[in-house]
Amino acid sequence: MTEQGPAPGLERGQDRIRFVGAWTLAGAEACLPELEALSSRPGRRLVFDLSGITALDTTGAWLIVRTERRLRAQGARLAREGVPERYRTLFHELEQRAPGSLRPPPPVRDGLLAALGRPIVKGFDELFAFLAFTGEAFVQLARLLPRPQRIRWRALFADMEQAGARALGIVGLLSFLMGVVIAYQAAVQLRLYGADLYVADLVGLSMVRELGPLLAAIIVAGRTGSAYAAQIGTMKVNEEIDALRTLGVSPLDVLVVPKMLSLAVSLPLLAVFGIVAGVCGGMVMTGLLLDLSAGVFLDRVADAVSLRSFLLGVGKAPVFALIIALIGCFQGFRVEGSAASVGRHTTLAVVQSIFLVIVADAQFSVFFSWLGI
Amino acid sequence: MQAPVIEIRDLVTRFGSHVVHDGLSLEVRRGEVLALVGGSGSGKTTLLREMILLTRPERGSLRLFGQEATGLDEARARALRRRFGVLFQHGALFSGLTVLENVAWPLVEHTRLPAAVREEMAALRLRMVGLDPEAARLRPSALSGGMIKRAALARALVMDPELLFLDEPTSGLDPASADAFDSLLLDLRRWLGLTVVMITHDLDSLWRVADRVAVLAEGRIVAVAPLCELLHHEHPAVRAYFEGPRARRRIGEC
Ligand SMILES: Nc1ncnc2c1ncn2[C@@H]1O[C@H](COP(=O)(O)OP(=O)(O)O)[C@@H](O)[C@H]1O
Ligand SMILES: [Mg+2]
Repeated sequence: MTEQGPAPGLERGQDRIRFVGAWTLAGAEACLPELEALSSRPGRRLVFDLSGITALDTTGAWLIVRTERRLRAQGARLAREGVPERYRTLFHELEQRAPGSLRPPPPVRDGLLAALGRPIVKGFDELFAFLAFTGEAFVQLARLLPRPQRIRWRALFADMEQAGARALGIVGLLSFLMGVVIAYQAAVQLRLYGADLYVADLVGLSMVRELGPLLAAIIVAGRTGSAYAAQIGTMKVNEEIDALRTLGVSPLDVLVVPKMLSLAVSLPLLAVFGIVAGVCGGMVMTGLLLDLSAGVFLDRVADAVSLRSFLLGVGKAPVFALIIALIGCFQGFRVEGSAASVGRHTTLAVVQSIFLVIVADAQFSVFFSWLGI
Repeated sequence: MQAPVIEIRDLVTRFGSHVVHDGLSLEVRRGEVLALVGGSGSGKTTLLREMILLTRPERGSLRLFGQEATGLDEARARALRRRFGVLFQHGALFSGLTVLENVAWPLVEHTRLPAAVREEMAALRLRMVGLDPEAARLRPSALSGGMIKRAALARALVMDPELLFLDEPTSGLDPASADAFDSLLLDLRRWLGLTVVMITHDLDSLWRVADRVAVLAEGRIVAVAPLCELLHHEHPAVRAYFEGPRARRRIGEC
């Protein structure tokens, strides 16, 4: 991109090739085919006459040098003449710095077996690493609980605000809509049997036992689990995690334990809020569709939802919270080096935590039915 | 006399109420190496970012290659940007690409050269800055600080720019690498007629490669002159900067 000048070109004589014009990157595309078209037979004498060159940069010089090399390899006896004084060292430098081929060795590719095995081994690695991480986090938690003054309360409360209080709006809105949807489906079906009243039972129980906690957990996984992974991952890329370690502070203490505790408190509260919003949604929808007053609806819900159902429903939330916090933080710590890696692990954090939350929910169902509650 | 490559007049920059540049003027001549010095936080990086069209000054005029460069639309700014290379203070290599891909990246974006030629060009720049060919396939996260600097320089050079901006190029390099860097810069200038603007605290670099040194203080360029003249300059900020024993030692060599 140095000085613009006349376009680069070749004047081809008998055994003399004269280079004219500005041999710079700007003209490189244009003159490359012409250079590549040059060829020679063994023993031929050739002169590259560079006296017509008006401007030269490293790109242009390299194009000339590589062509010379190619022709010499074909057996030409090649000489360079008329190099303007100020470009001598550039050519000298190129020949010094770039002897032989410049192509770096190609990356090693996996064979079929390795390509098959590597992800499996990686998967197991990740599983074991996650188990180790979980164990470590709980050990650290157990160490801190007897000494509450060492818990990072400031970080914990800041996180509760971010992960809990600020999620109230979205959790409330989505739960409300979920209540509307369930009430609508239930009303349409139950009206056929004249069992209008049971809409309230259905909305209340499904929100309390399943949908309230699950919906809150999924929203928090998307909102907060991803934030955990991105925050820790970026800190890892910036070597902030290493800095913490060398300052004698456990990253688990500073980053992971406050997040576990904060989510374990916030998520159940969010779930309760979601349940209330969902029941309201159901109530509004039933009021519109059926001849059921709000008072009657709420009485039915109160009858249908026992304290036991409430505890079993909301009691799942802290478990979901720990899953989300642990996966988010774990994926953050798995980040290696690049910004792309932060993105990849953030995605993984969300996908894995939602997956595990639903698996855990299913296990709770199996477990509760086995206990008969 | 040729028009200056960069011409800054009465530049004002403010962050909130904090005035960083307050009527700053500076000219960079074609083919010179101009070093920009000044205390930490005096606004050197900010000035550099304005020259490379990343930050807009609040007031004042900036001319690059003789064209007015404030308030350019994106297309014109892009055309200007192709003509200069930038080495950021921390390298700013793309973390998702290998070193070789990083260096070849401007060629991919701006030219239609075949991939093999692009790779050669990138590899050539890596050799020129003295990086091992083995490092070409590594990702930036696997490089040391000095290697990152060199790879970033290679990327800044790959388009054969007329103008090169360097933000603390030798900080974090071992003395031998820093010397090699200085030599490379001098060579490049000789071959390509390169104009260089560099921020540096490295007295050896100032001594060896800078044709003129501009001292930034109090939001202005308080002095621009060859290093030797600056050592005798009477402005208090300049004196403060070159007061230390490291700088004094150079006086004898003037
Ligand atoms: N984006 C920004 N927002 C607010 N203040 C900034 C910003 N960038 C730089 N500054 C301030 O401008 C001043 C100059 O910074 P900088 O140009 O980075 O200094 P240096 O000379 O050390 O490179 C500093 O006081 C810094 O705090
Ligand atoms: Mg700076």
